[in-house]
Amino acid sequence: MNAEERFIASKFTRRGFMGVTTGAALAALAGREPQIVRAETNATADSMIVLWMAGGMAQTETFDPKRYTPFEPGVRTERVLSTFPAIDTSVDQIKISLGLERIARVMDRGSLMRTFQGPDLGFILHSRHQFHWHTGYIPPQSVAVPHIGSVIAKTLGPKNPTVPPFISIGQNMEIGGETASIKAFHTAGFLGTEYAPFLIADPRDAASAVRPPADLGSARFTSRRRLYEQILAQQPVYQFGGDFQRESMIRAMDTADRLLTSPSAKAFDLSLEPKKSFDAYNTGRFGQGCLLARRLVEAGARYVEVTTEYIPFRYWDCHQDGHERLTMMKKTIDAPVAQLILDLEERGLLNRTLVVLASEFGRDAITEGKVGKEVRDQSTTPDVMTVPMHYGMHRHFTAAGSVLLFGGGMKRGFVYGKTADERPCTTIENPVPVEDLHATMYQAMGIAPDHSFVTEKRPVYVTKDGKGKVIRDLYA
Amino acid sequence: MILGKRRPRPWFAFTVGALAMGLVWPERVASQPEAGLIDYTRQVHAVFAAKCLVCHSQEKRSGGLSLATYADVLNGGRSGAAVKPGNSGGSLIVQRITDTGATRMPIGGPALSATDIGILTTWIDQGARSAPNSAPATAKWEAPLPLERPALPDSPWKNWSDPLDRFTASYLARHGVAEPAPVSDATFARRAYLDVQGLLPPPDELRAFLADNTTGKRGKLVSRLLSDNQKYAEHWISYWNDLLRNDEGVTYYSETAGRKSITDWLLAALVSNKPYNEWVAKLLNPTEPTDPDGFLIGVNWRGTVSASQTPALQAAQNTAQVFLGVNLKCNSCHDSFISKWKLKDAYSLAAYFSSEEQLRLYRCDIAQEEYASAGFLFPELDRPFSSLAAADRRALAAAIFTDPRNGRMPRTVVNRIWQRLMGRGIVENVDEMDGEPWSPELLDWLASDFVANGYDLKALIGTILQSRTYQLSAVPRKGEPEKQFTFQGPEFRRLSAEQFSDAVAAITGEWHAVAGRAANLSGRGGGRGGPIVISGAPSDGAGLNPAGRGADGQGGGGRGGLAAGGAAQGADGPGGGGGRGGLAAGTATQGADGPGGGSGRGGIAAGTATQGADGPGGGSGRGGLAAGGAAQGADGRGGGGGRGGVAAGGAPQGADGQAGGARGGLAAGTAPQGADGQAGGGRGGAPQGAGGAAQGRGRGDAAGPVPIPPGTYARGWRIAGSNLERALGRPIRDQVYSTRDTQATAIQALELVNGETLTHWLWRGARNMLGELPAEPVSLVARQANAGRGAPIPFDVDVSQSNKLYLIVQDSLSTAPDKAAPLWVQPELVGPGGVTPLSALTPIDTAGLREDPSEIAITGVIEKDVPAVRVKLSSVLVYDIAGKGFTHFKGAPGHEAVPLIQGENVQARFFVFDRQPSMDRLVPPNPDKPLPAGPVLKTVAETVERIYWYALGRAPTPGERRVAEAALRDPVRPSRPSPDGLADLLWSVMMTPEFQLIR
Repeated sequence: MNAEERFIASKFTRRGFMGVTTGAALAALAGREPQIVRAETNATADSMIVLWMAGGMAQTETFDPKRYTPFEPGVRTERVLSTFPAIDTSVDQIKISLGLERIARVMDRGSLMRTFQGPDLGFILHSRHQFHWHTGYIPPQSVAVPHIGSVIAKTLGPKNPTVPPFISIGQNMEIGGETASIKAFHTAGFLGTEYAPFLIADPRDAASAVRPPADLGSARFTSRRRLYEQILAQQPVYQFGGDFQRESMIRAMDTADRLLTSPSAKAFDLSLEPKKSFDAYNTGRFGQGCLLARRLVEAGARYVEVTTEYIPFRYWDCHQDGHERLTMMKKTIDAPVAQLILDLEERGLLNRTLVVLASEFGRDAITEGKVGKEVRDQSTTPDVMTVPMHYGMHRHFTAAGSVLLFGGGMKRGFVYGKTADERPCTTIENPVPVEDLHATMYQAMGIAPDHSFVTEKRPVYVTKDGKGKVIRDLYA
Repeated sequence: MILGKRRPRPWFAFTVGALAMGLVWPERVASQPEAGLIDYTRQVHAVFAAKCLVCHSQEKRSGGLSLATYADVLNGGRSGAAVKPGNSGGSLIVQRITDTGATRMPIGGPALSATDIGILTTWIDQGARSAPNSAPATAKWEAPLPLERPALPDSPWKNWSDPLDRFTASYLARHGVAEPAPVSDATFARRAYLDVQGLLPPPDELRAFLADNTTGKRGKLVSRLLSDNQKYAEHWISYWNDLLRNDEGVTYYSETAGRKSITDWLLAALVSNKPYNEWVAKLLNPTEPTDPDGFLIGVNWRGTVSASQTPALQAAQNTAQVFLGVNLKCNSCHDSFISKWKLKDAYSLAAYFSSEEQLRLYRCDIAQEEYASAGFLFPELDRPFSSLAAADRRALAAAIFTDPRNGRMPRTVVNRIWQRLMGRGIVENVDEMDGEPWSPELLDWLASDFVANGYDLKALIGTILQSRTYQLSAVPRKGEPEKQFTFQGPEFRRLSAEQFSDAVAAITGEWHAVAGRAANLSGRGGGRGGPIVISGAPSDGAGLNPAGRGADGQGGGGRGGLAAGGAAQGADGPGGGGGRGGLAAGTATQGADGPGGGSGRGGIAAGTATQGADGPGGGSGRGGLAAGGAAQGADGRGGGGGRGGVAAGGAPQGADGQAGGARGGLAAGTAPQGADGQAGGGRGGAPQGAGGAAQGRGRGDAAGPVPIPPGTYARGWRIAGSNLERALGRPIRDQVYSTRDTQATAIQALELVNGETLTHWLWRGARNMLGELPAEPVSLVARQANAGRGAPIPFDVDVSQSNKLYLIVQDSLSTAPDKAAPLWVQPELVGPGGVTPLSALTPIDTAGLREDPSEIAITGVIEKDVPAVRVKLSSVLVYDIAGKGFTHFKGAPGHEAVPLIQGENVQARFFVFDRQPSMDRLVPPNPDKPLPAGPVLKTVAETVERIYWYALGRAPTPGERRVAEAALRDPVRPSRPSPDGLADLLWSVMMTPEFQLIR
């Protein structure tokens, strides 16, 4: 044992800590990096990465291309289904949209679901649909429902105890208008703060999240820790010697310290990635987020989410200039998403890592909401496109959206669900509500769709009413 | 499983074993039940299954009663216990099955046979056992509704003579506890300060208290602490914010019922110690504009919601939970499976708070052919309606909830306060007041005493704090189930997020500031919330507040006022930031009342001769800005998502401009009078004025510069959403939180170990304690300018003494920062040799410049070829002007004309400094702090002493002193403590459980 472990051990035995300790703490006491723990036996995945296309990814411009209509002044908006031509992929019958060439080459590693159904919530608010996607429940709720990452963290625990089980990358929490509503679902809710997300707003700062604060420096960081130990050791032990509260506070401090000083901390430091590999991902924040996700899963992360970031009217949320914007967005995601799949495969991790790329809903140039359930319009798309600004999918479409599922037991080179080739391009086969998508994702992790937690004496299921249906067709 | 569907087993299947054990008679052959003990499972349940479960299943629960399981049977139904063990005659179930009238059970079916009745009565008289070999059941606790003051028991111990103590003493003695000693003075003082004011005892006050030898000093301390209304209110508001789910700056964009803060009202109610029954009545029946209607409005998101989450149903759930300790959440969707409450109960309560007289029931979001009109959960308190008007229904609800016969209301709140102070409720769970108290007499005495004292919350807290019971040694929290719980004393509690951050601020003297937010000039876009947090120390100020009189400004996160400049009189400027903030700046501001800004209300009345400016609007709420020459009675509503107004320029009078995303107004130009301008996304306005300027236009050009309101130093509760506070357990207040998660977690520890907030805070705090925090430089220019609105307004500042110039642009929460194209318009340095354009100089670092070769089109400027320096939205340009002889720097903040669509805005703050400023402190806050500054520490020994006394309420031990002094020693300057060492010592002490626990 080194000095610190001796210190920890002496503390804990002196105060009767052993009675309440956990496997992770015991492993730490034994003086080694805790072993990676496997999930439940019927699971097909141990880790999950969600790549979040925040703001409504237009499906006809990405993974469900329809008839291409080039821009020319005077073209009728209703004629325009896709503003990009389709391209071939590594799977014969699958075509996706121009600008996604690298993802096209890895389509044989995963499944493409084209019929995700956003719920009908009336007048659209992105963050509300995102809340629903990330918890399975529509706000407001009478209890604070947890994020799927928290559900997984709570149910399965960390895979490697020195890596936080739920890491969220790329979402700045102060985004102006919808700040509160974004915060509202980045929470473990009634599961308790222990399962809250470890937030890394900017992957470029990830290393600093596990590095001593800049004001401090590492030498002082170490000496400050030593001072804390001395102060603690000198404190008279009061009548609450064996108190669990006291021990859990000391233990939490130790866990944090262990993360900061453990080999796992290196996973956060993108500067340690070879330049060539770094460059392959580096399309900006999202690309670096994908790289960080790979490094964290390698280190034993349980659930990692990487978002293109939601900020109203930015990124995928285009209310004008959609074609231009999506050209840029596809550039942002194409290389890193494909590289992530290839890297996980090369490292033998793809089999046990489920990678899900999804968005809260799709988009369309004409329909807001669903046909028959149209809702208040939020875009000023004219009937006839006169300038390039009009060219794109500027309305929120909830009747079809595309989801990619790679690895983690999913079929390879498979398409699930069918949408119409003519407007409104709605789902015509195998609609997938969020509870079924979640059931499928949870099942891969070995969590049953009717798994539940009790709060206020009532069960809260991980999918709505425990009734999410696992889509067996997607499993290899 | 519905047991009634179970196939009956042949009787002989039971007999062998049962008879062999000599215990029971076989099922259906119980002709002589008195000969043995009745078996619930085989005999009693068989009767229920055959005759009763049709209506009294777990699903149907007719009358709230399920007879499906033993626990259900003992639980009873809406009318209370069905079974009173040992007393069949007093058991409702026996009364009903033997009744001869129309309510005889089973209703509509044949009466039970004499045999069946015999089984039930015998079983009950034998003690209603769950099995023949178990003990007789204890009667189910039934929470009474009326409240009677219980008789005081005799105290077994001489000193335990207070009424409260007589209950606990007799309880403790009954449980075999010898008379316990109270905690030490120091422990008591730390508890009392934290519980009343949320602050640690300042060392000098603590020492004085310890040295005091007079009797009754603890009681006197409690009274003194309670008498500081402001400190009490600023501690307890966090508790009530959690419970009433009140927050600042939170909007979910409901198109019908946006979230509304009640902070102003709540703080005032706490400060004035408003009687709790009046407080409940106001929350249930808000009638005045200043009443807290946000509580009933609830948490609403844009779009359609589940039928169980409409504002009226939320009101039912929350009023029941908060005021009565009744959980109606399950049965807002369907009849509850876990309690007696039915769907209709929730809807009946909701009908008091709805605009509709009758509410259609929805079961799991499916409409039913059933309607509910207003009716109370406890029908014995129902009152006749004077009218069915919505206002009268609400008023009736307020009367019923606060009815003196409703003992549930005072019991619920005294139990909450007890739990907050003692760690565990007399009834635990505090939200389920049907639960059994560990001392029903104590609960009832506290509640009746509370009522007798006029529902006085402070008196209640005082009663508990002055008791010997409160002064018992703390015990570890075990969380054992109610049945096994024995009260032994208060539990160890953890400092709340707010107590923790207030402790850091109090010890270091380094408080956070909240900035009042300027009205949303652009009048576009979503509102936004949350004050901007500025941390750091005050600077020497900018000559603010020289002659403010009667300034009653409300601002920042809550309220804050600043009357700056010449002669502000009676400035009442609620608004700014998350709450209300007011800034009346300039000369001769009179009665400026500018609610608005931020998410709440904030007002700025700036400039000269502002009178009665009343500008609600800005942000998502209301904010007003009356700036410029002589705004009179400017009432500008609009901006952002709500209402915000800007009356700027010469002399707007009675300007009433509504425009913005919803309504917001900009009445600008010269002398608009009675301008009623509605503009923006909502309504277009027409400032009309003398000289015909700005007539018929949606907006005019702002003529006066827009100052940036200074921040206000504030306690932790006002600071919205810091990572530190969230990590320490401050909840997202979308639900009612009666208790917080105080668990220590790794995520939380990471924030404490590694978070920039605490690290930076302690860096500054340590220097502040040693008197080594450098004064902040004062800006030469500080302006807000937003894209798309108004022409650039020039500045001209003296730089004759300056060696460097720092030109800073900061984002001010733009929704479209990617479109930002800020400019320094026509920047020029003037010297004896004439005018030098700034572009002739090269900044020390060019990273802040925006490269763009195209021609510049400036918002509000018609002329072409106006020179301007393009900069990034967040940029610092540093110019070295030493020795060049410049005397003046001129220019204007501006933006390039960029297309912004609805919902987009670019808001920027522009600063010019001639010394390097702290980026988090560009506007000097109002120098007043929540607590007076501590002494400047000179020596290592006194520093260690101070920290231990303040943080832990005691002197350091010799060992601690040795370790701490070693940490503070600075080899470079042996006579003075090291600032870094001090920061580390503070951190180390604060990380210990002794600091973080209230013991």
